[in-house]
Amino acid sequence: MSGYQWRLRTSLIGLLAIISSVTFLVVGAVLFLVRIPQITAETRADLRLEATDLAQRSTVMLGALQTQLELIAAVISGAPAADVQLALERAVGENNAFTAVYQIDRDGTALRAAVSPALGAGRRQELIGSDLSRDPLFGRTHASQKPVWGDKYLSPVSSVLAIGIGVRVPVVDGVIIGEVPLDYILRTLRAASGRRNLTVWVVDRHGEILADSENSSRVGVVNLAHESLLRQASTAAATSAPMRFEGRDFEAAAARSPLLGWSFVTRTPGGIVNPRVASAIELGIATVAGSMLLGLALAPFWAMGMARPISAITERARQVADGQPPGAWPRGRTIELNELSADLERMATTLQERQQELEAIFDASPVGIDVLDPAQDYALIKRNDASMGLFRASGNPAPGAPGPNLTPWCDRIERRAFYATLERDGFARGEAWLRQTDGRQFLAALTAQTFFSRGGARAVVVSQDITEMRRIEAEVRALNAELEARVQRRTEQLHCANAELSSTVERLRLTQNELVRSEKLAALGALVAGVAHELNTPLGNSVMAVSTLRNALGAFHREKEQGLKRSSLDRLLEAMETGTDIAARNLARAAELVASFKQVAVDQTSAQRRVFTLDEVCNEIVLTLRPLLTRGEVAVTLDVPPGLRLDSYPGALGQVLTNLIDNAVTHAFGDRREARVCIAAAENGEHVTIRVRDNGGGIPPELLSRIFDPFVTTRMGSGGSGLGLHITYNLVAQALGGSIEVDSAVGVGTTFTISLPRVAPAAVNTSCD
Amino acid sequence: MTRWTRWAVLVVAALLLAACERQQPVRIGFLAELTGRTADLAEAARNGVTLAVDQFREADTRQGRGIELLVRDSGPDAASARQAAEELIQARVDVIIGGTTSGMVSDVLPVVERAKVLLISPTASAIEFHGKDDMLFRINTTTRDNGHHYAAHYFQKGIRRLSIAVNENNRAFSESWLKEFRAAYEALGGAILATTLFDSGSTRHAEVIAALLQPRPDGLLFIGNAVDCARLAQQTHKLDPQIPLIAVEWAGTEQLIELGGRAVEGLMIVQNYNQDDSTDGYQQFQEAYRKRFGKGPVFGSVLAYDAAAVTLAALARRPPDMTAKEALIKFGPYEGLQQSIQFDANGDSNRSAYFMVIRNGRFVREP
Repeated sequence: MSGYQWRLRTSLIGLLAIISSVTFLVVGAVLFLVRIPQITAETRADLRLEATDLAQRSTVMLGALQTQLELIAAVISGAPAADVQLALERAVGENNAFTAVYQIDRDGTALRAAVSPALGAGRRQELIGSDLSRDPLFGRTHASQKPVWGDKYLSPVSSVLAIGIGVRVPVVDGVIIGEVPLDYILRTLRAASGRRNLTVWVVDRHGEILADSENSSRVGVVNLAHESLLRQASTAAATSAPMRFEGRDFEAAAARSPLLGWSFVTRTPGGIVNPRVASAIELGIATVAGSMLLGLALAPFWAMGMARPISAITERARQVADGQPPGAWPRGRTIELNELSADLERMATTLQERQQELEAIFDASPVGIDVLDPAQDYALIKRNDASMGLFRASGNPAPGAPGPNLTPWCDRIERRAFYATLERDGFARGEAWLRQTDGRQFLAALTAQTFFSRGGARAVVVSQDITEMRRIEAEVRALNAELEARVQRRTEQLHCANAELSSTVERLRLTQNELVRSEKLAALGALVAGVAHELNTPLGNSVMAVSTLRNALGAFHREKEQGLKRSSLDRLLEAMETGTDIAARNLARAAELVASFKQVAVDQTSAQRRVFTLDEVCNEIVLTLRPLLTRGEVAVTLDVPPGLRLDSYPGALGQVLTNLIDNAVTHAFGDRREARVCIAAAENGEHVTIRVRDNGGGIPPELLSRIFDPFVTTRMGSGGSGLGLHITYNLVAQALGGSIEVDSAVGVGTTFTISLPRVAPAAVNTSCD
Repeated sequence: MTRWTRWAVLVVAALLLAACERQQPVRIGFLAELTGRTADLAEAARNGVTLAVDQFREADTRQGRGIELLVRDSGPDAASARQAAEELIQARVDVIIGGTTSGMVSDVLPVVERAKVLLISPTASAIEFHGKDDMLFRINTTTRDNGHHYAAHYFQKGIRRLSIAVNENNRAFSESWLKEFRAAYEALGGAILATTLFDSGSTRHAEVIAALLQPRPDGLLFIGNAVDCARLAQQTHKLDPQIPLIAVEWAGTEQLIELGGRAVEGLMIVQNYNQDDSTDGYQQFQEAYRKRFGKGPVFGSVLAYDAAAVTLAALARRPPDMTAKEALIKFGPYEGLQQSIQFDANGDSNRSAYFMVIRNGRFVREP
């Protein structure tokens, strides 16, 4: 709200004043636009009437003078000179109308004269005999048949301004002239106007004023010929018009007297100084001013009546604003005010609730809130419980308590900078070290904002002790840093370990390959040992047969030296027969064995694919394993249907069977008696199922699931590589394209079930090394 | 704008206009002896001024400011003349035109001097007014000039011995005039046989004439107004119709002829304007004058017309901070009806002299 402000009372009074003024204007307008023109019209009509009336009366009265002269003229016509002089004297003396009456003869010489006694006898004498032939009135009268009223002129007789009336004397052809002083005209005018208080001019045909009822000094002085009113009056009977004279406005009317040739002008002040206009205006002003005054007199009471309930409401509102209990809200007779009162009451209640709510929030806030006064160097005004706790303050300070002491900053420069920011931006945020009342310092997070309240600018500072938080943060930061270093270190270590592992794995792979190769070599060794073992008997038998032969032959030789005897020959022949037979059979057997071993060795080393019968391969394997089986006292039974043909890799299959039998012999039996391994095969469509079953101690369950993994062995360190079953698994799954399962029960035995396609998949990488 | 608003605006404007003062018009005061013995001359002067004012009003050179003419009668004596002058000054006139006689000018001069209101006299000619830096400006020539004109001219015409009737009511003029005339006339070798003072109101004019005729002069010289001269001429005519008559310029009005009749036939007079002027400008003036006032202009009319025209012209050109006196001097010369008018620093100007004689009831220039 800008500009002027008024009290309600003043504004109501002002309203009344404006209404009054408007009324005044309206009344004034009506007066000026309607009533005053009416009055003017009426005035003009009255003036015309009066002028006409006055002209008629004056004409009658002045006409009498003319008649008088006409009578004298009549006398002159027949009367003796003395009578004529007497008549002249009488005219001058009677009623002072004429100051001089004189007779002029036809050539213009004054013959007889009578002058007012006041002028003295000398004048008469001087006049008689004077030549007046150039006198305009004489000239006009002489030329006219009718009496002539002259213009105002300076009388040579009386030396004053006068009017001459000229009457022709018919018989002697002379002229009688009577001089009437202008005073007389005025007197006549006054008589004619009676008691009416008129302002009148008598104006001759040249506009000269002959009489002025108001100011006789204008007579003969003022010329009105230029007035339009008089120009009109010379043609019309009575006219009226406004006129301006010597700086004043008049309403005037003029009527012309035909006899005298003069105009009678009645006038009255024009415009607002016209008495009737003035009285109308005065009445108007008085009425309006009266009502205005009355209104103004009543206005304060009315205004007070209006203002009282508003003042009461204002008072209540002020109390609410000051935080005092407002008491009952006033109710009066004005509906709007009651509504206002009710609305304000509602507003006050809402405000109070809002305030309480705010105060509760203020007090309950866990962070310290201070309200400061920027005008007093941020002196503390109010603080909440949290702030008190924060500063260890005992209570709210007295308002206006100096700021620096109550929120003591450890660094004054920081404080100044903080509040400077606040002043500039209206908002500031920062951290600062503050001091509690007991001197302890703490780091506070500060957020401040300014707002404007009734008391001026205020600053709200929210402070929170963040000393602990910052400490923990610092620790966390340190820990984080350390952790990162450790991770770094560990990563590096892992890198190293990884590299080591990689090389280990590489080494392992190499080792594995090495192992596989040595396993193969071992198998080959075993094979060679088996072959050697198998060949040992026939070859030993053959050697023995051959040595027996050699012994028999030696014995023959010695007997021959003694002499050849038949008996010796017969014994030699029999021994030769038996020995060659034994040698031949055992060598055939050796040859058979070598051929068989050769096939196994070829199969196992060349990984050749071919069509074979399952029983054949199984037999050969069991045969090659006989030394092992014999040594282990393990009985192997084959239950393979003959003629079951496979198109597969007999070397791989042989190795599988070798491994499984070897595994059983090595692990399953221990010291058991009647150890048996049963190899059974069965055709199963396009597949062949081969079961290798032992009646050993079984595989411990914890080992069962890992049985095909590499390096799984129960005899680590005592010769087992742990790769046997792993290789077996790989050969079945990869080279032969089949699958292998194990089923084992501790104390009952283990069954390996191999399922093989009768035709192995093509292009299989048979390499398992 | 609604009709009501328009009405309201009109009403307010009308009231405001009504409340406003009229702009101050130019106020010209006229002061002369309009009711006394020299009323004819005064009326002639008033008519001249009135005509000039009317013509200026019609031309409206003041952008509607208007011209107001306040006419006052100087009354019968010095006191009434001063009072009338005071009245005009109180009415805040810019200039007073007036004082048709030197006597009256003498009477009111202290008043206008005190009020510092300029008085412009159309006809006053007493030598005492000449050459003074005061509030009086004059259109007419001086008695000295006219006295010299009269002396030289009529001496040359053979009138060597003169008897003189002297008006005692306007002594400022008549004595000044007589003094100047006497000096010039006697210097030429003329002789003044008799001088007689007379009162305008007196009834003993016949005796005055008888006394003047007694030393048998070559002619009679009347120092008086028109009525004086007419009356003296009437009496002379009764006693010696043949004697040459000379009247001072003061008497040069119609009334001299109207009242003098045959008695003034052949009367010689010097005029400071040319009554026979046939130029268009003067003829138009004469026409307008006659139409307005029903009679012809005389020297007072012409000089007063010039005085008013000059005054109005100067005031029209006057800047707000300039006095009327400064303006009248500064903006000259002005074109008068018959001659150029230029005021010197003392407010004096000069006029030509025309030698007239009355023939058949008319002023005509001497052949």
